[in-house]
Amino acid sequence: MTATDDGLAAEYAAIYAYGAAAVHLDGDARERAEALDAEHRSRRDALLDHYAAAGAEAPQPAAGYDTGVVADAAAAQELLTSVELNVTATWRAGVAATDPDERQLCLDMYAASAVSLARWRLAIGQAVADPWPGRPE
Amino acid sequence: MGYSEIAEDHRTHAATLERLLRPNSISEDEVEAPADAEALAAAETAGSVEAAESSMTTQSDYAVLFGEIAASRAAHAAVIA
Repeated sequence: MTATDDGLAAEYAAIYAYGAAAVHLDGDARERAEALDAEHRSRRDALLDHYAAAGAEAPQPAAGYDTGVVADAAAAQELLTSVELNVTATWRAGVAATDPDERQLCLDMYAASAVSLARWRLAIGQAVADPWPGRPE
Repeated sequence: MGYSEIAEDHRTHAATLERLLRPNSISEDEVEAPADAEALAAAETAGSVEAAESSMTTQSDYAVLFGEIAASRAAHAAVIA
């Protein structure tokens, strides 16, 4: 698995989670969740284009992902916060890649995912500032 | 997002870089604060680009550190705008 493979897998999992969670949200959180779902789909498509351009086979999404029980808005918010943190942490790890093209891709995706994480936190009233987005605690 | 939170992120970045640079140091130049939110967002975007460029031209360990600063500042710019 390459860093790009890991990042694509995280984007697949995020898209699945938004499908399970967004329906439980309303107001600003719902609106933001729908926008972020679209961003993850856009990133997935860009990554698939990247694989196609390189003549490489892209990893496929899993048939399903463990999202736990999502029965209300609180559970949906918790799941999506976890998802955004996971995507950001995955792309952050990819920045250590020694191949310059892969590092650049991971760096671009990492910045985009940190923006998504901040926007999501803002939508649900959490603190947004974070000097080290996605860094393991 | 409060500007004091953004300032705290910058203090954390500066303290980490200062620790890594020891015994070398960089003098603190007086810089004019951005005039408004738009100027602050532009400054954060410029800082993010600069950190990303540093990430691309250094070793792997430091690449992640500069990448973190680039990502943090990109997030600042997005929520200020």
